[in-house]
Amino acid sequence: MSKYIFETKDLSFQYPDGTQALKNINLKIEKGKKISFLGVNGSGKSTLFLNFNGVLKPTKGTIVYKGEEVKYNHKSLLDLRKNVGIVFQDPENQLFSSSVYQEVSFGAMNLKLSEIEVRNRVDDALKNIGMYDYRDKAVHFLSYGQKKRVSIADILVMQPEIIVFDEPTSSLDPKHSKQIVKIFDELNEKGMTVILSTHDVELAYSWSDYIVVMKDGEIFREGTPYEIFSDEKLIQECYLEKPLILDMFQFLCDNSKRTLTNKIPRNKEELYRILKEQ
Amino acid sequence: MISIDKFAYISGLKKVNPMEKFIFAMVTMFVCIALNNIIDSIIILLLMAIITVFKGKIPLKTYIRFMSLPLAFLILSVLTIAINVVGTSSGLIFSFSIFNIKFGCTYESILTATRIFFKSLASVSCLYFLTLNTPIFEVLSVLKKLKVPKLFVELMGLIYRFIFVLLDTANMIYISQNSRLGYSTLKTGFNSLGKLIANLFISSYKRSQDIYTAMESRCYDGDINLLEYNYTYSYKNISLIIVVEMVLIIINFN
Repeated sequence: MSKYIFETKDLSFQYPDGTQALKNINLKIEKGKKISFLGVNGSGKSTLFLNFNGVLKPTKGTIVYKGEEVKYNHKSLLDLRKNVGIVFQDPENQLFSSSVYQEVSFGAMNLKLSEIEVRNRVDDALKNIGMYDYRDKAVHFLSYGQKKRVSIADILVMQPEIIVFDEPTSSLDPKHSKQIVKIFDELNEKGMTVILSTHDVELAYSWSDYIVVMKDGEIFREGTPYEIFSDEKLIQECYLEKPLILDMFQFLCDNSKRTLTNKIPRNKEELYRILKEQ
Repeated sequence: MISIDKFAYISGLKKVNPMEKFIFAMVTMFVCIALNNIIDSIIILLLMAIITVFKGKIPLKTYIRFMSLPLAFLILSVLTIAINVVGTSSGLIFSFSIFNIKFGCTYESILTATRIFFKSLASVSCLYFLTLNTPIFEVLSVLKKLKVPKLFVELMGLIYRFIFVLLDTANMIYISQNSRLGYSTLKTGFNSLGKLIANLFISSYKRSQDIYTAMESRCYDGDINLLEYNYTYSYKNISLIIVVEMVLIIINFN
């Protein structure tokens, strides 16, 4: 078996109204990585995610999960959806039950597990995201951040191998964003492959192992965070912005006329450490 | 409407098995309607009020306010029963004529009206007991256990959840229209309201598709299967229900 858990081969997708949303996407995703998708609104990130999960069927090309091509019959779709979970951008569009506990149980019940197993999984999922105390609450009394966390538990309960977040930190305050990112890291430490789309370049730069930049339904570039964000031309063409940490670091390097260190800082703490050592 | 819903979640009886609450409310209501006895109706009215206020911890003032909601309808309809077209003048308490038609009120008709008044109020109090002490999804799980067709129960659940989403959306559209003077005159007000309703339909349709997508991505296969809450039956409560119903029936036949 290859080290790639998930691959797309020449994947194209066209909406029924004729919009060509994705063009020849070739992706290889390694197991246990943290991957960010960047790109302006309408660049095809959400459509691609729906293809990952088999909700949309590519008009051309294939998806390969764990070395096996997805065949779009009932069994293979069920298997794909069980293993690739999507947390949607707006929890209001995902939560359909009025009770938190029942809402979270939906995915696990669909896997036809035993009742005890479902109960254990629901409890675990709610504990993982810190919403266990809210299990008997009604969904419409929760705050937006709490709904967001319940929508994550919705997917965790299915225990997928890959979890995909569509713009998870949009419209969250800094405190809740931090909580959510912490949840991503915890999931990743447990061996889950975490994929997210974001407009937050700071998050993408400091958090990801690998970045995919999309533009007009195509993969424009992929690489490590440093590779992506040190490329001025790419940043301009894809309407990105340079992360402040990297920008400052390069400014310091240029002005001190010597390389400060070989290690490029990924976050504030790392930058401070480098400055202190000087 | 929404405040009624809120009470169910903070009720002191929230932890009680919903099946027991459902049976208690329904059986008492049927007993009340079947016996058609003023004393029984008054006892039920007081009993439900005491349980809801003291056990359910619903503020007395709020409870009275809720109970007075159906009062206007009730008094109007009871009046038409008490006052009837009468032929003879025997046994009338009072009477008056409009256009040569004689309306009057007999001892019999007043008794019927009072009976109906208390019977309806008592039945309403039974329903209030259920709604103020049981969150909707527990009522749904009871209905499911009672083998109500799954489609109905699923629909009820979805409708209940999306009433709040719909209200939120409508409220947001209303505020944004109002902030742009959409309701400054009567004419623009109607115009804005029409657009609000049309938009609400479109956004509901769009949302229903989004929800379906999200459900599909969680292996939805046409059946909404959700975990049911586990409740243990309390023999104390069941025996209490039986005793109460028996007492009500005995009072009627004495």
